Amino acid sequence: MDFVIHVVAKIVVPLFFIGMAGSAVVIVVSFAEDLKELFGDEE
Amino acid sequence: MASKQTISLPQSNRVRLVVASSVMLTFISFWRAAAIVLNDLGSSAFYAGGIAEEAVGKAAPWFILGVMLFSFAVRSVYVESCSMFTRGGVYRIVKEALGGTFAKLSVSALMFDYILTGPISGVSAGQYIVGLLNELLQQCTAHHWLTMLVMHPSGVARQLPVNGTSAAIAGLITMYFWWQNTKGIEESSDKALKVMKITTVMVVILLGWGFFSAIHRGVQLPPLPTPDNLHFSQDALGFLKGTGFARSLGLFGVLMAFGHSVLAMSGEESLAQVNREIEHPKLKNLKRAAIVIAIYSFVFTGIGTLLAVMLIPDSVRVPLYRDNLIAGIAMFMVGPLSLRIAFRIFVVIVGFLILGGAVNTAIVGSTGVLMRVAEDGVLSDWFRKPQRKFGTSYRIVNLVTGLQMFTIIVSRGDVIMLGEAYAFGVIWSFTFNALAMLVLRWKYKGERGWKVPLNLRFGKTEIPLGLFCVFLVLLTTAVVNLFTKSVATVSGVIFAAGFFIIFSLSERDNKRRHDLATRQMKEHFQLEHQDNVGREALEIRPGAVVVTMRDSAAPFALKWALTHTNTDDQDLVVLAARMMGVGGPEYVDASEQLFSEHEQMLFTKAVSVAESFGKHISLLVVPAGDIFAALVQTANSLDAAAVVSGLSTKLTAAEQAYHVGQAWEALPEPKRQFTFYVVKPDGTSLSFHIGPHAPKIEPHEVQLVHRLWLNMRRAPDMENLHHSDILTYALTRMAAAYSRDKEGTLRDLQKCMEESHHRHGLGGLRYEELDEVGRSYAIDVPSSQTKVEESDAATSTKVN
Repeated sequence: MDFVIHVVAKIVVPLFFIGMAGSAVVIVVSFAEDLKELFGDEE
Repeated sequence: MASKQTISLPQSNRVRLVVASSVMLTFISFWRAAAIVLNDLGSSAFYAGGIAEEAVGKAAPWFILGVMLFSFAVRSVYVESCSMFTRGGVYRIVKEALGGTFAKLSVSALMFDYILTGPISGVSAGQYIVGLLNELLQQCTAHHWLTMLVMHPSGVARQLPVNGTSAAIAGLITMYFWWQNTKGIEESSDKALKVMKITTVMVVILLGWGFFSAIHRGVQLPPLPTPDNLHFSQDALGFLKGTGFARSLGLFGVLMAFGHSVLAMSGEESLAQVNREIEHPKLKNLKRAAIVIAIYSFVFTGIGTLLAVMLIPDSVRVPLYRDNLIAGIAMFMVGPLSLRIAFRIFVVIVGFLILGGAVNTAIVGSTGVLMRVAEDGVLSDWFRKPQRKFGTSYRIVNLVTGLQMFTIIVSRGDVIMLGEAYAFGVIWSFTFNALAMLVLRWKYKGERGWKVPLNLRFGKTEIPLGLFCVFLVLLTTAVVNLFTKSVATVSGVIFAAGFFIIFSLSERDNKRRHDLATRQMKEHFQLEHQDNVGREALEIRPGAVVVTMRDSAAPFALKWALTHTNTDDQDLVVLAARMMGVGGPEYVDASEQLFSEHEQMLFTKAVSVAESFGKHISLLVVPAGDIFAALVQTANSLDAAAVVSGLSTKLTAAEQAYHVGQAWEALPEPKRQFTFYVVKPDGTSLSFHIGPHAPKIEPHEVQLVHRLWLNMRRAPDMENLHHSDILTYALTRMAAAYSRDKEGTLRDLQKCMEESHHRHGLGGLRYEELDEVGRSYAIDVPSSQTKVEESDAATSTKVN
């Protein structure tokens, strides 16, 4: 188990943090866009 | 809209059966949609914080906040999926992108999430109630109130067994909603909105008072979410327990902690389920609902958990308040004890409402998902058979509640154990959804309503970087959870594998049966698939009679309608509504509509009854989200003059008419009035006018108007007075009086109604109960096809 989890950790940890960085941009952009929708005028 | 004609040449000996593709729905505002989703998503605020802290230690609130922030990104994936498919839930998306096998796998994971939502919410509600009762017992003991009842002979306060009592309460709540769903719950966004209003009051007090208390006490923030500050429990290490790796987790620990907190965003799937009901402009309103949900749950679940760790002392937070964290916050606010206990009672009431609602959402949601796969032929027809009395899919409800009761008994009220398992379904259903959306970016390159941001373009190639990043986070978290959540991995894999096998075997068996059923349907009926219902599709004249039919064993409404209709002058359409359940699609392609054995029996019976009368009928199948909306929309589309329905087993005739009237009011213009007949099993019937209509006036009332007219006309300058002027004046006066004094006017009106009802006798015009040859049965063919362009506030009115 030790060996398997070491290999898994080596792969998933960088992927997770890369994913988090990209998701942070998604959150900021989509949040700003959706706030505009929420408080924007009715079409 | 273009119609899709799928099958067969007309043959004279076959009855035309039109199958509509557009589902008859009613639409709701984005606030109501947000309230429905928050009833599920918001409920996790009551238990997620405690479960996360038990697993990862005092830094847990930061991870809950992180998960709630990340849920904004998951929400984006759901919005994109819903902009592509109105019913953008996991099953549909994964099926489109990855095929049936993956769809069955993902829906199995989703079912695990739904099945566990019920027990975890019910048990959590129980924990809050028992926590409060035990606190009250302690307070009574401390103040020597009711000592005989609340105190042991040893002088210690009596305490209820927390987990056992919570499990019993969860069982009762589950059984209550089992019965409600067996009878058939009316889907109501009103209830969800009311619960969210009262929850909002609680959240405002909680945050306002909580922050004031935190500042007043000068409390500190929880330790930052760094690897050094993570202290995992033995259970939280899962399969890593005892390994060398577990001694130095490093950044992997951050991933583990995130995985242990991910259950806080359970409920996002409800957004996809509610999407089809959101009113126009759909995408705009969907995005509005999604942002309201994200902000609300971030504030409630995220900030609430942060406050709990700041306010509740370490010595009691996990041992005493782990499973009722918000109640703990109430008890450690600044202020008098009585006020804090009063607020705790309020928290428990709100918790009971929202968590109880989540139990129902879990039953309704999982039933909806199973209905959806059953409609696709993935689940055996046996599950779709309607309950004899109530017409609900009781076998699916039984299966879901049976599994939930089993889970409650196995867990014995242990929220931590349930929370452990819960995250499996949550994370894997999200992961499948994100993967499917990623695949669809390549598979369907066409325009969609909205895309997850951060898309890089190189020439003609677009790289969905944002969507890929969200998928990466979900996938890595799901993989890590496999190692660290042993209970979830074992139970989730067994459950998902079990469901997957059931789905696969069912599908194979169903395919064989449906091939036969479809062949038989084609032999007996002239099948036509149309996008929308219209007179042209059925080849009928204006002013037809629409008869609803649900049970092939009791076609009394059809018999009654055939008795009273001359089908040479007036067409008769037998309508079978195919209930799509919560989470059903807005459009069901012809190829996806499979006839169950029950429907086959229903249509065969309808035709044989019509043949026994020697009369001709048309058959129509309409997919529907709401039976009353479907009925009214169909009647309007067909220009029908009358709708005939059997007496419901759940509602009175007046209640049925009221719902039909409400649905009629919600119809857009142009719309026409019709008469709604409710037929009882003994063949008698009641009739109701739907829409505005001229009231019938009793002879003595005509006399009164005439006497007034005679007297008033004698006055000078009144020679031009008409009877109608008297009525106009009286009504205007009444309207003015009503606007001045509503209660007084209604009181007087009530008196007037009572007097009027005393005068009833045979031959009265106000109340008509028709026998088989009732004199005022009049399904008139209209002289013109003109629709009513205006309507007042009328709903349904008993013929009067």
